[in-house]
Amino acid sequence: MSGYVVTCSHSRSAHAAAFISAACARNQPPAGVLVVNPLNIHQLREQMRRHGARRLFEKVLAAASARFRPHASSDDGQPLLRWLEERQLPREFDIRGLCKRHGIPYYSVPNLNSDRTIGVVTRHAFRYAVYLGGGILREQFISAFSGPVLNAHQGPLPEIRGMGAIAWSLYLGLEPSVTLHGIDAGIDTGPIYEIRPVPRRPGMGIDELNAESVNLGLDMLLDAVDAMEKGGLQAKTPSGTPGSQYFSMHDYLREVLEYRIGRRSSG
Amino acid sequence: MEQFAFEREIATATQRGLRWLVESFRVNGYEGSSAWSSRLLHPVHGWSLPYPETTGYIIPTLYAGRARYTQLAGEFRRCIDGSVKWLLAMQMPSGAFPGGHQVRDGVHRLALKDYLLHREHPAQESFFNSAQIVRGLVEHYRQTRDPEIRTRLDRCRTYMTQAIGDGGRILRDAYAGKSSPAYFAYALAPVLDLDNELGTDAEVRARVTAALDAIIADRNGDTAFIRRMGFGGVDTALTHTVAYTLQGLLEAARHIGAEGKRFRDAAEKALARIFRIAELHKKLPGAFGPDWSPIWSYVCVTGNCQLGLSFLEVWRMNTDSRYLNAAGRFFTQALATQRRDGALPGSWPIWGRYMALRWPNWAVKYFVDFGFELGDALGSEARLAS
Repeated sequence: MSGYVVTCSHSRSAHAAAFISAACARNQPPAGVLVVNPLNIHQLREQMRRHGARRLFEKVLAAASARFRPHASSDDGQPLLRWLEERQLPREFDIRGLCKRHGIPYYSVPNLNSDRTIGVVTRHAFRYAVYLGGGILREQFISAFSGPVLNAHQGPLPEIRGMGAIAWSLYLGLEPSVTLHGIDAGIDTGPIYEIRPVPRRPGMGIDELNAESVNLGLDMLLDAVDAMEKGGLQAKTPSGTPGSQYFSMHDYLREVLEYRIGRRSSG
Repeated sequence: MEQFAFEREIATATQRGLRWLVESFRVNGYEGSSAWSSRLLHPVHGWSLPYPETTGYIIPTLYAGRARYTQLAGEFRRCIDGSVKWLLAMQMPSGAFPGGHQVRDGVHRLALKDYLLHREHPAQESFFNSAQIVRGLVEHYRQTRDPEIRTRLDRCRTYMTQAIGDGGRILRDAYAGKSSPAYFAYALAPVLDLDNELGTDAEVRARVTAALDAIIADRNGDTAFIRRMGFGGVDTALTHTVAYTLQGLLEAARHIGAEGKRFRDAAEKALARIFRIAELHKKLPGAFGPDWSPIWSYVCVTGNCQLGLSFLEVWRMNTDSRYLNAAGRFFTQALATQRRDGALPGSWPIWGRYMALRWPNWAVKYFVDFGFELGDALGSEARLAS
């Protein structure tokens, strides 16, 4: 068994890059990185279906412009930069370059569920995975590991499954939290290892809470790697039956929520 | 006074829609609303003949608009008064109202091909269209308490009760013939409303309930797919007629009370399936084949607005905010297709299979109804917490 593998949705995923940098700084680097190549028909079709032509065009444009800025990513933001600064980590978002510098094998794959990807996983006998993007995972990929596929879900489980879970937890009056869990064939229905509340400051809006929850998720994944290397993670008994699956919050409801949490004055 | 950005957006869009609807009446001297506008089909006039069925169910929309936008109240009044007179004049001796668009007294066109072939038909009873006219007349009666309207409605109730045959099959309809499709649930619900308004008649209740039971009996227990929801009673159905079916069941359940729970459950289960498809794809297909197999080549804008209304009904029943959220998405998708003069297309793209190249008045009617209900729902959600 040769350690763990990190998945990411593209070669300039800021959060994946930050995780890899931090794991290397802790002397727990991944044994490999699986990067989905966004320029394939399957991915383009999936993105088109999810976001529409306009959003897809914007994403492609952002990714293309990032290629000419070596220290920029298509999805970087201030809270993540702060997270890196606090840990004295470099602002390096080029995952290919990062892997080369740390001697981590880098695999560009068409999609995580493809036979080619499964072949890479089984050939190198990766023990477990840290999921940092790359699309919906199928059973074939999940079962290729002897250990879990770890994910930091931005929301409390089992109550809020699916997308926009921070916004939905606020809307439903639940504590915004991040849940470390193992991915299974369902949507956020796998074993739960840990739940931590998102640190809140007065005046924080939905975007700030989302960004904060992503950073918290990185910390939780790094701690999970630490625990895995020291012996393993213990699943908690879920406090209830799986809740409903939520989907991204529409702007109208988001405005209602912003008003409720006092970010937006009326008039 | 609109406080939120969504309220301003919805109010602007619904006012535009209402102005277009008023224009659809004005072009007919306020005697009925033209079924659609289309410069391609009607290069000179731009509008089709007035459509009794949709004129009927636009009347409650105008009353709701009058309560919100007082600056348009005079125009709404003219549309309502002119159209009620026009509708009453075409009531048939049986109490039924005729199907189709009125060319002149007793002469109608039933569908687009009658326009293309210059065909005309004598007035034919239509169960479905009568029920939609009843929606308007019942609302008018509630507002005016005019005894003449009551008498006419009573006659229509007699016709509609007699039109429901053994086993709940509906046999007297100009469009559907003897196919008795499931979307006739949307014609059964107003009979119950009418019955509640005029005084409950046990026979009416029994016949309508039997017809609704026949509709929900013919469904797949696993997928909640109700059969025969399409025009002509086929299984492949536009979201427009799927929505008619489910809205009809929900409305009927509301009119019946506790005994109608089975109709509500059937509709809610079907809507849960549609909700999932819509959220996973971030849009709705134009039509569904058997067991909800989606047909993606176009979007039925009317059906989206109607299903949005049903989602709001589900949200009111079970307070599941995901349905309110999905309704918001449907509304902005429909809004993106609205023309500057307020019209909405039957399909998007405009050459899609449903009402191709036309801007039907019922698309605008359901869009306005949807906007009113969505704005109220979101506003109440926001203010609830303040």
